[in-house]
Amino acid sequence: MKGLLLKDMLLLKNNKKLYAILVFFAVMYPMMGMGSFTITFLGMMGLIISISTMNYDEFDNGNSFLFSLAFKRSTYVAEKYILCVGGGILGALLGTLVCFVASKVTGNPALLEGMAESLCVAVLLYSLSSSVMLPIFIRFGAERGRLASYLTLAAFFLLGFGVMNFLPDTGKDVFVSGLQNIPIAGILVRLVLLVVLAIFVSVSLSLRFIRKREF
Amino acid sequence: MLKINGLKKSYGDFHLDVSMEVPAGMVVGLVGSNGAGKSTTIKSVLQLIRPDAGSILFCGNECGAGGSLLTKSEKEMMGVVLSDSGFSAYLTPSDVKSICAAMYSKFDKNKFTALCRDLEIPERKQIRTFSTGMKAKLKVAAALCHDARFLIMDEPTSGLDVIVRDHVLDLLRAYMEEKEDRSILISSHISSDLESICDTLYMIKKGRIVFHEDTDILLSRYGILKCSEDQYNEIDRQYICRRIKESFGYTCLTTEKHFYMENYPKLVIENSGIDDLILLMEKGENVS
Repeated sequence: MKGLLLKDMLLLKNNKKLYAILVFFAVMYPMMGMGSFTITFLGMMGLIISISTMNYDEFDNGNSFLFSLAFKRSTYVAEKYILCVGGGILGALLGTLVCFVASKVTGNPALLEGMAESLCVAVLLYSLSSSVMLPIFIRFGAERGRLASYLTLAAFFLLGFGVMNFLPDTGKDVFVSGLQNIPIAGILVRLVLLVVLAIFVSVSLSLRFIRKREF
Repeated sequence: MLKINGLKKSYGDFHLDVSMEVPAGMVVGLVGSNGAGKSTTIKSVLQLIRPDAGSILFCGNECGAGGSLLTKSEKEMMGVVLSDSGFSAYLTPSDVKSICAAMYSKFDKNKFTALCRDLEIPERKQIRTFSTGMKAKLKVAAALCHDARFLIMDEPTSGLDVIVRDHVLDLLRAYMEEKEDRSILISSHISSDLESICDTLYMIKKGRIVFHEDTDILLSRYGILKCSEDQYNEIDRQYICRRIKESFGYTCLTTEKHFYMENYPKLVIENSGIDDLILLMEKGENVS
C-alpha cells in the first residue's frame, strides 16, 4: 500500500496551480465571514482531489500496467478508501484550522460559531460521499464513473425532492417531531453508525467490482 | 516457470485457445500478426483479464480460470513490460524509482539510477515529455531492477533504434546470465531481436498456437524453397510444411533445407527466419 499511496501523492503534487487557487479561497472565505463554508469547501476539495487519482491511473490505458505491479487488488481498494475518506477529513480539518487562525487574526469570534458542527457534518458527509462514489468509479472507471456519480446524485436529489413534496404532511410532521425528541448526541451517534455501515457496504461492493474488473 | 494449459478466452468472433510452456532458464518468444492473441495470452498470465477456461501454473501455483489470484510475492517475482501501457505520464523516473522501491522488496535503486544513466533516461523529467523510445527504455529499466525471476515482455524494443535495441538485448542476456533459473517470455514484431535472444519460439495465429520450434533449429534446418511448378511437382515434398502460390511457381517452407541442398542442387534455397515463418504460416497453405 505504501507504493500506491506514494504514487498518488507524487501525482497529486503536480497540481500546484490548483492548490494555489485553493489557498486563495481558503484565506478569502474566512475574511468574508464564511467560516463554516470554508470547512465544507476544503473538505469537498480534499475528496475531489483524492478521487482524481483514479483519472491519473486510467489515463492512457495506465491501469493495465498498474495492476501488473506487485500489489493485490484489495490493497488498491483499501488505498483509495484511505486516500479519499482521509482527503475529505483532512480538507475539513484544514478548513477548521484556517477558520481558527482567521478568527485570531481578524479578531472575529463569529468565525468559530458552528465550527464544530460544520466539521462533524463535513466529515460525515464526505465519508458518505466517498462510500457512494468509490464503488461507482471502481466499477465503471473514472470517465463513466463521473457520469454515474452525477446520475446517482441526481437520483438522491429526486428522492429527497419527492419525499419533501409528495410525502403527506403528517408523515413529515412525525419524522420531524421524532428527530426533535432525540438529543443531538443521539443523532450524531446514529449518523456515525449510518456512515460506518455505508462504508462497510461500499468496501464490500468495491472489492467485488475490482476482482471482476478486466484491464 | 510458467505452464499454460488449454487457456481459453473469447471476445466476440475471436477465440483464444493456447497451451505453451516457459521452462526455467529459457527465453521463449511469442510471435504472430496483429490481433493474433499475443497480448491476450500475456494479460491472462498477469491476471489482467480472466480466462474463460484453462490452467496457468506459475512457479507451481495454479492461477488460471479456477485458480487463485497472484499473491504480492508472486507478482514481485515478475518483471513486466507492456506495449500499450506504462507508468503514469505525470511521473518522473525519479518518482518511478521511489514507487518501485516501496512496492518491491528487492528493488535496487542504485541499479535503476545506473540503468537510467546508461540508457540516457533523464531522471527528473516527466514521462509525458519522453519520446516513444525513452518510454520503452524506462519500462525495461524498471522491470530489470527488482531481481525478478520471470520477465514477461510485450514488445519491449518497440520504438527503439537499432543501437539501443541491441543494448537492451544485451541487458536481457546479462539478466539471464546472472541467475540460472530466470526466464523471459517476450513477444515482438522485430524478428531479428527474437532470433538473437530466444531459445524457443511459439507462433500464434487467430488465437491458436500453430508453430513451436527451437530457434536454432528454425534458423539452421528450416529453409525457403523457391521453385517453378515443374520443379515443385518433381521434388520429394515430405519435408515441405507450407507453400504459397507465386507467379513463378511456389515459395515453400521446409523443415530440412539440407535435404534439398544435397538432392536438388538446382533448386533456389534460402535461409529462413522468423519473418519468413510468419509470412508462410499466415498466407501459405498446408502441404499434406
